[in-house]
Amino acid sequence: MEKELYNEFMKNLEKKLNERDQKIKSKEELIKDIKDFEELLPELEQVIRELETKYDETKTEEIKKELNSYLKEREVYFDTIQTFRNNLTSLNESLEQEEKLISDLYKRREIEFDLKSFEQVSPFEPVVNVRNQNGEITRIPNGSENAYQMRLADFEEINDMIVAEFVDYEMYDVEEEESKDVEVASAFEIEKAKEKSELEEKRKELLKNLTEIEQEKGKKRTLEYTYRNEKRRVSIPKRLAGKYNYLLSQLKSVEKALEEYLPTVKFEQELYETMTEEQKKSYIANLMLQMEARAQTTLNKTYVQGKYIPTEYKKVYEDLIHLLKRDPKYLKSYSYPIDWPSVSTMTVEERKNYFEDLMNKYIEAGKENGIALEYENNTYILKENDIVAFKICYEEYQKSLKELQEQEDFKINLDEEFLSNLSEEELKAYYVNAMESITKKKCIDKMSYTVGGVTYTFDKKYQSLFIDIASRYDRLTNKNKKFEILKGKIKPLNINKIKDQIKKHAVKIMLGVATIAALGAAYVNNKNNKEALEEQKIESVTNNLAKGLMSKINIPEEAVTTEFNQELKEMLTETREEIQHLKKEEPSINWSNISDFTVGQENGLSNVLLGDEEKAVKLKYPNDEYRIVTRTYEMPNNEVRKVNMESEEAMSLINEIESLGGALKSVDAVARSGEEDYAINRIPTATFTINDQLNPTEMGRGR
Amino acid sequence: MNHELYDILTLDEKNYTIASIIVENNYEYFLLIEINEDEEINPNEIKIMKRPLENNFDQKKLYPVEDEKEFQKVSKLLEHAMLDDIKEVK
Repeated sequence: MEKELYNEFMKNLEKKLNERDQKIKSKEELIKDIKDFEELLPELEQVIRELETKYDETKTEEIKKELNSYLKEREVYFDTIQTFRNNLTSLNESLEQEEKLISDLYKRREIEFDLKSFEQVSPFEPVVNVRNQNGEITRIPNGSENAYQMRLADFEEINDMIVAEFVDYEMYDVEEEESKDVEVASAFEIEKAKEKSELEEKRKELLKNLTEIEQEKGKKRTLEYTYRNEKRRVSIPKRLAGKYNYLLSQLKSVEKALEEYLPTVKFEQELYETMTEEQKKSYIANLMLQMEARAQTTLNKTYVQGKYIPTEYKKVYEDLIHLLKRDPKYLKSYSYPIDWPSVSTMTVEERKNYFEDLMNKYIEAGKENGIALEYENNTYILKENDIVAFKICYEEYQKSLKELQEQEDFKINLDEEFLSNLSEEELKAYYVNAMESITKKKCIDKMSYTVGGVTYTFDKKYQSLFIDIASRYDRLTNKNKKFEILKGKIKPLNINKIKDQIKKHAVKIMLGVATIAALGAAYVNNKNNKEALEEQKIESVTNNLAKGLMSKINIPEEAVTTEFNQELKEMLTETREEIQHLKKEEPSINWSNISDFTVGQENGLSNVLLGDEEKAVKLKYPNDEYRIVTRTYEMPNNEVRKVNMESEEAMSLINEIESLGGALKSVDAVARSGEEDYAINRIPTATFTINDQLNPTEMGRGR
Repeated sequence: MNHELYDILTLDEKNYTIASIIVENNYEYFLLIEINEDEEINPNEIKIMKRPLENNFDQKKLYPVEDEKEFQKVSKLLEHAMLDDIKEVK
């Protein structure tokens, strides 16, 4: 039987060698596939890492969902790579086996030639009879029996080996051929399988086939793999290993197809419109990555800008590339753009009104060439370009309505009538209290906001409510602050003209900046705080700055002696004049009516401060004269309230505080000799605390 | 609202052009120079204003720089930025 098999094999040797070439080719393809997958993994890892960070920061369900889908995808990648590696191992084993068999066949041929050469004897040579490898009697030269016998033993040894290898190989190869047929058929079947039921049927069949192989008898080989998150270890006949691996990879493909039944990577225009620029970029990149990944599991793919993409996604993929490059023709234009930066600062009420107003504007615009839109049980006539924006506005409007409802549920009273009855200080306290109460609510999806230097952390679902309160608080606290409202912004017609002028006047501009710096930032930015340094001081400051400027902007020496000096001279004159002018405008402080007091005696500081109104704002201690700029009171509820004595309402506020039981705790005062420093840095010279032990605290001296 | 170099901003009924912009500690600082309708600058009227980049409740608010140290630091950076930019003018 062995000989028959052997003869059969020899007959088909050429055919077998061709098949071997095919196998080598398959092996190369398999190595390339593995490499491709492995190259794709770092990109996937990158996306996962980014999503993980994003999720840690935002804790949103959407990101969690996206992250999970990527994690699953990564798992499929790992499994696919593992399956490919298993297939490669089987293929390698098979090729090695073949290689050894072929090499052994050549060795046997060599030995056969050797043995034949023994038989070539001259007619005059003494000979002996021996049995050859086929059991036939032949004649060899006398004395070479031993050598012949040794070669014959070699032959038998290699022959046994070949027969064993041949049996193994031949059987294995038959199975492999069968599985190849299955491979092609199955791949197409999965592609064609559009119905869930077909996929389920296929899955059942594959599971059945795998179980059958596991139960087959024969020389066993152990195989380890992961299936549905569990490691499996099976013993299967060695000859069926390739088929088993293949069926396994098919099963995983089918399960993946089932998992994402009717999978489509879809570009959600409406969702896209609601995103920030950063989100838009990452959304597009994610979609593109998903499409690129899908190309690994489909037969119909196209090459688009250096990447393989499933043919069906070619058009969308190309559009996404344009969007990513911000190609203007792909960016929709609405009749009225949504001003998202402004929306982000609006209160819920304002937001509701804004989107309601915008929807009406779109409806108004639709009166000309509008088309009908059936949306949320209503018909709207809109311009085609405005449909997406209208839907966004509608959703935002509904969201604001819902949030308003939630606010009522949360019981933070933001009723304008109620709020109008509160004083400014009470309002501030009310808002701070409200913000704090939001931070005390259960927090799952954390987010933070900094308001007035305090960072509040709360659940994202209270974001709108928080911003509503915070923006009210911000407006209130900024009411007396110096800020300017930007009323418009336009692009200049001639940038070069502006640049030329700036270059021409660079020295003047820089001297201007230096003057502001020397006089104190408040000098120019706040007209109510006009004060000046002494002329000499300014002169030396500007002179020093001028020297610095010369080296900094590298002005030629010639220019320094003529134009530059002239300009500098003018600047200094102007500065001097302005300082003089400011000095004239400075309100003079009346230093009469100063209260004298001595530490530890009856007419101590507390008596002075709590006495006569006029006297209570100025005092002498011990060798200098002070005017009080702030009084600090402690209320019965331990709240600390400060009264700015420079304000016109100071006295009425003091009366109100004292009638509510507020106790004076300390005063901030500016010494007559410290007025200049105070004008620049707004730091009082000293704080006097009201108690028996007077503790003047030096604060502003020398600053 | 994004601001770019030489954009013309209207503040308190006056127009200013942005001579330089720097970003420092989550604030955007602007060196502003008054400019008229013919796009002619007035180098005597300058402002240095800032606006917070994060959690900014009102994008339209620009704040003065009141802290002296902060002013000294940013004014130098703004000057450098301005000089760097005009160096390119032939």
